[in-house]
Order: sequence, then structure tokens, then C-alpha cells
Amino acid sequence: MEKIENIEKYYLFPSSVFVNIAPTQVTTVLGSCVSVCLIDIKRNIGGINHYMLPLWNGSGLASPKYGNIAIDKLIERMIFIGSRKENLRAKVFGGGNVLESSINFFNVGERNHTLAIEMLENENIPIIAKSIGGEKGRKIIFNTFTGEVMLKFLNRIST
Amino acid sequence: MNDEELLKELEKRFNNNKQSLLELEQLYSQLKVVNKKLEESEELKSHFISNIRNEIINPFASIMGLAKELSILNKADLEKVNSFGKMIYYEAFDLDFQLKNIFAAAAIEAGDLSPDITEIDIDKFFKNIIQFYHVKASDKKIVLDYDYEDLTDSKSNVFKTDAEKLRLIITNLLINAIDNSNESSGKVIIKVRLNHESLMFSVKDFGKGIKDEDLEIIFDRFKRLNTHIHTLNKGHGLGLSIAGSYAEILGGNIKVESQLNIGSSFNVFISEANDNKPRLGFVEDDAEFFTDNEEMIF
Repeated sequence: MEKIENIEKYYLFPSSVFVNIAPTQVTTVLGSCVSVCLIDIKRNIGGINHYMLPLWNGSGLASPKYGNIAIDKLIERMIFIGSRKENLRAKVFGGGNVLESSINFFNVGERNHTLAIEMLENENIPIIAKSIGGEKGRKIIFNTFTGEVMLKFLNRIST
Repeated sequence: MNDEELLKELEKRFNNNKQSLLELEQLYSQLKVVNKKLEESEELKSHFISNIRNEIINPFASIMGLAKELSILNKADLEKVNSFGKMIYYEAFDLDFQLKNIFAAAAIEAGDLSPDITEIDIDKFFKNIIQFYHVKASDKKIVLDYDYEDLTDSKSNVFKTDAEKLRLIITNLLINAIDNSNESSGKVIIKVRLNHESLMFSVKDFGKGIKDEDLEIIFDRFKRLNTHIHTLNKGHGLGLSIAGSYAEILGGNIKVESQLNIGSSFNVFISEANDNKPRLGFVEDDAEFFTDNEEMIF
């Protein structure tokens, strides 16, 4: 337990990507959003994103608010800090069917997690764990050193 | 099943079919729009490089030229020193703003968001920003009309938010409003209302206005409505896309009302950062993970 207390902590906001060589405990909260965690099994480092919508449609900035950009960015950043793609493993969380009035797209949660699985398959990155869909929100804590993810279902959540 | 039922059933199916065809058509037209946008986006990205020349290299050249002049002035030319100094300051000020925008856009696109929440005095904050633009506005004979009201019970003017992000939203809207005004516009109205746990403000100009069909694209990156090379329209088309993204990060949004040749009003809503919400560098209530059974380890 000593290790966990000394680890750096980080709260990941929606539309952002986090990759760090230092062991970090990253927390984020997901409703219809999806987080992909990437773990480098040879080097004990990891990264995570948090996206809200599946595809960038050309409006606004090309930011990791959109899955296609967020997943590309995450892989890019892992490779930038020295990971080899064949050593990467993925865990996918979120994409719940949480009723939200602010988002009028149909089935956004499902489209979010479907995209993650498709893109990771295309990139040949094995998905070693996932908890997707359902009606509830999720809070996850990702330890980038061990690659372990703790997940807790939430009843009422908005992101 | 009798004939009547059969007909009804056929009609129902026919209608369903028609409905799905219609939906398909709508999806197809949406797809075409997206496709066109993505094509344009690439094109605009290359335009961006040439826009940068005007926005960065030109002020930089002026600064260097002025500084060089300054270094060879005689002692007697004190007045010139002052005016050169002022010119350098304004060029640098403009440059600083352009660079801030470019770095902000890069950070948003990189997913490098880290709200840095502090308590600010909203009234002072707005006044402080606006005072920098009085000169720019008075060049166009425009008055910046500031109207503030604290509608909270405490009347403390205090609001918790990411000050730098809010500043860039305000600055971009203010500069746009001044740039889009003309000499007959007279004024730009900045109206600010501090509510319980939220902030609303609007920046209203009486200038060119925006065409209805353009309202959808003004938040797109690199998009400038008037893209002719010799136009007086400044900027690189990042300002509003940054303001839009930042407003979203701060838990709000921007809505636009505009009428051609009458003017535009950009209305911003921001929610107050909540202490109970987890912030950067903090992990909220770790302990709960080990106290109930709806948890899993992957």
C-alpha cells in the first residue's frame, strides 16, 4: 500500500489525453464518454484519454473531444515517449447509455465504445479488459505503473 | 386476415419504408456536409500558414524596425522615444495575443487541458481586460460600454473559475466586436451578470453582422468569413473556436445572435467551478472504493 500512497495523482478532464512516464494514478468519471487506457507491458508506463463523441465532423477544433482524434493522439503520445506498438495493450471503459438531455445524438454511448473497439482492432492493439455500455456511469482509477484499473459504477452522472 | 387489415398493414409498412428512406436521405446529406467540411479543413490549414505571416511576422518586423530606430535616436528626441516605445508596446501586445491564441488552440487539440481554478473578482477582472482595449476602440471612434451587476446575495463579486481561459474568451470576443464594428457603430456593449454559481456575459457590437448561413461555421477552426487576401479583416480564424472550446471546458457555452448590417451579440454562459468537483491534481474520495460492493478491478 505504501506505493499507492506515494504515487502521483491526476484528475483527467473530458476532452483530454494523459500520458506520463512517472507512475500516476489517474481518475476520471464516465457517462456516455469513453476512456481508452493503454499499457506498455514491457516498461510499466501507461496513458489514458477521455472522449465525448465518436467522430470529429469538422466543426470547432480537432480536439480529443472526439474519439477518432483522442485514440490516435493517445497511441501517438505513447510511441513518442518510447513505447513500441506491439507492447501496447488496451482497456476500454464507459459508453454507457446514460440519458442526457444536452446530447441529442442517438446512442452516443454505444457509438463511442464501438469506435474504440474498431480503432484498436485496426491498430492491432489487443483489448485485454473492458467494461462498456449499460445504464450506469462509471468512475475509474487507472494506475499507469501496474496497469490496474479500479472501477466503480455510479448511479447519477453527467459526463 | 381480411382485405381491410391487409391494406392497413401494407400501408403501415409502406409508410415505415418511406420514413426510413427519408432518414437515409437526411443522413446522406449530413455525410456530404461533413465530407466537404473535412476537405475544407485541410485547405484552411494551409491558408493558416500564410495568415500567420501577416499576424506574426508583420508585427515582429515593426517591432524590430522601431527598436532599431530607437537605438540610434539622439538625446534630444525624447518625444520620439516615447511614441516609439508606445508603438512597440502595442505591436508586442497584439503579437502576444496572437501567440496566446495559437498556443491555446494547440493545447486544446493536444488534449492538454488543465483547468487552474482560482477565485477572481469578476468586476475588477472585466474592467482590467477592457481598459487594454480602450485605445484600439477609440481608434475606430467606438466606446466600450461596460455594464455589470452582481445578482448574488453576497454581492462579493467573487467567482471561481480558470482565470486565464476566461480572459482569452473575453479578449477574443472583445477584439472581434471591435474589428467588426465600423465608425458609425458607436459602441460595443459588454454586459456582465454574476449569478449564484454561474456567470453570464455578452459582447454586443453594432457592426457588419453575420449572415444566417455563416452562423454555423464561425466556430470552425481557421474559418474567416471574409478570406480575400487584401481584406482588412484581421485574425487567423482561431479565436472563436478557442472561445467555444474554452467555454465548454469551463462548463458553459456561447450562443450567437446576429443580424446582417445590424450587429452581433455573443452570449456566454459559464458555470462556477465547484469545490466538490474533483480538480486537477486531486483525487476525490478514494476511500469509497473500498467501502461498497459495486466495484471491480480490471
